[in-house]
Amino acid sequence: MKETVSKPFAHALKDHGSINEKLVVVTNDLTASCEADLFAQAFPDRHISAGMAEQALIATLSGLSDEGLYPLYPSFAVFTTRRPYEQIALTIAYPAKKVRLFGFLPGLTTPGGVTHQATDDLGLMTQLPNMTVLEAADATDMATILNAIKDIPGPVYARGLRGDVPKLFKEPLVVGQSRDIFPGEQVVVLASGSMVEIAVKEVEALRAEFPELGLICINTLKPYGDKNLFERLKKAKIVITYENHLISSGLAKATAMHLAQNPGPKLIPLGINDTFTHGGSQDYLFNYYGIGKANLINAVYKAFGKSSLNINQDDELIKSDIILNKSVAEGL
Amino acid sequence: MFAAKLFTLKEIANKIRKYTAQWTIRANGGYLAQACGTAEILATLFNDVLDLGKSSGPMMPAEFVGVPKPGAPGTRGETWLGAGPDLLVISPAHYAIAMYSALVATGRMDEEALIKCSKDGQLLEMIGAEHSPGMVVSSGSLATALSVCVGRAIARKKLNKPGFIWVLLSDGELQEGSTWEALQLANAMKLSNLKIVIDNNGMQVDGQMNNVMPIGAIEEKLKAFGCEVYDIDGNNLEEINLACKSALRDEKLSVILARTKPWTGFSFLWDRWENNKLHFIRLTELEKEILSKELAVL
Repeated sequence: MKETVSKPFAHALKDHGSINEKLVVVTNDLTASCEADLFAQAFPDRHISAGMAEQALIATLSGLSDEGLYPLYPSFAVFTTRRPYEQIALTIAYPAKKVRLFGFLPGLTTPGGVTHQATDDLGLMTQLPNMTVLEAADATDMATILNAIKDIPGPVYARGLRGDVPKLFKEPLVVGQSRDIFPGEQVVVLASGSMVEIAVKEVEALRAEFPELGLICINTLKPYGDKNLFERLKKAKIVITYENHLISSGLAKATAMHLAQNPGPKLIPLGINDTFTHGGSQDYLFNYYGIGKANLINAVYKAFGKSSLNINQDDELIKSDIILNKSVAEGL
Repeated sequence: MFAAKLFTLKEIANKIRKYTAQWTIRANGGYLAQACGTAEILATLFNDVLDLGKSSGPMMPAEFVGVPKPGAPGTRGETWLGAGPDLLVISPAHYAIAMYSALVATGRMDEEALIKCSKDGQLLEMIGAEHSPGMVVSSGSLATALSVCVGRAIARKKLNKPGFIWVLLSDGELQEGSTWEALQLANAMKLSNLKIVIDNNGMQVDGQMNNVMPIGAIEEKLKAFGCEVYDIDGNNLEEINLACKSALRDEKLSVILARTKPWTGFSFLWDRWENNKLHFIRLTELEKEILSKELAVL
């Protein structure tokens, strides 16, 4: 029975509001959907409803920060990053403002379809100078991330999870530090965000057959890497990156940049590969776009030189009714 | 009493035109018409309306060291404006030369800086960034500064900080949707501490706005958004003064729609207006001659 926590971010945001009286939360008509509702109820004077006007909203955050407030904007990641991209680049990233941007509905976690699926948000944010970029993988991450980023002097983009969130970790998220989950050295899986839950389960099972299979959770995409991660990459023969994002600009890209300059292991990138996506249930989408558990298992077999694949991806492609998420305000 | 001030304001406005014209000759290109259209507005805002405080920027700005980094914002153009309580923000950063000229005309920067600090590796960029003296927002991509100022005005209200934030907006920016987003939020938040002056010069890069992209009945649109609107002659010092003073008492978001004549000051500019070549001025030999002669008697 897996353990989940209901709305960990909503509670953390409210708690953070008690600790930091400079915290102001600005929303774009997605207050409950992005778990700012408890904060807004507790601190109505510090909640600004800016409406569906993301360009002005982002630049407004910059101005709030200029005057000494600590602004935070939680939205669906597509509306956090893609629509107001230029305003983020010029009014937040360039002047290195202490602003916090949160993006929910990461990758293929929503039936909302191409308009709601953020498959490029991490790429857009990591390419901005001055920006720190994080991705939460579980309820502990979501509960501790606000504390983890509170002293970063520049802007932060964090990709988050909402509603009923699986709890995988006990220790709080630390910026710039990956999480060692399984120690195997020969093949190392680097997983991020919503892929970590699947990776923990599958890698644990696969380790019976492949004791030299390891797993690391990447929470900090930028700046990339830490001493432990670099050591483990050096020892590995094959690295599998496993992300809910386009491989061209997410975890695979960041890892490839490192490996290009520190040659050693071969890279197998698992993620969305140069395609736009469509709406559906999460399991269906994960399998359809090549990031389901079958894809991970197949990649591990390939990495260990086993030619016979144990699972056919098509068997997993069950086209069921779309199940709407009951744990969030909208069924997205 | 205002009559006595008029002389000083006229002098400042003339200097803004003069310094920008000299820059345009020196660099063989510049945003001269923007300065010519708003010289009276800038003179009034600097010298008569705003309480900017004393500049703490050096009379000769230092060299460019680097772009802002987390925790290290570097040189801030705001420094030359003073610590307030009021703040003046130029939204179209193409008006930077006009701003530098205004800083010199009001004794906040050396005239020499216009020459020495406008070379490579210096801060007086042609389209200013927020490290450029007098510039607050890097708003060369138009229609961003107003939203930043909305944020600042909201924060000042919440923190009970005194002072008014004045934004000089250009009418071209009314073609950008984000300007209307900002006005929408400013009115929803009832920002009486934010004052907007629109340089309604009717021109944009491709030519006269009515031919490029008409923006319709500006005054009515602004009123429909909830603004208090003053429709004035933007080159008339008395009208500017009256509107600004009245705007300070408004409970609503005030917008001064200043109808300006960007050809004011130099005779050859009118031809450029008619020929849709007023946005950026690279002088012909003949224009250079005319401008030099007219500068001598300005």
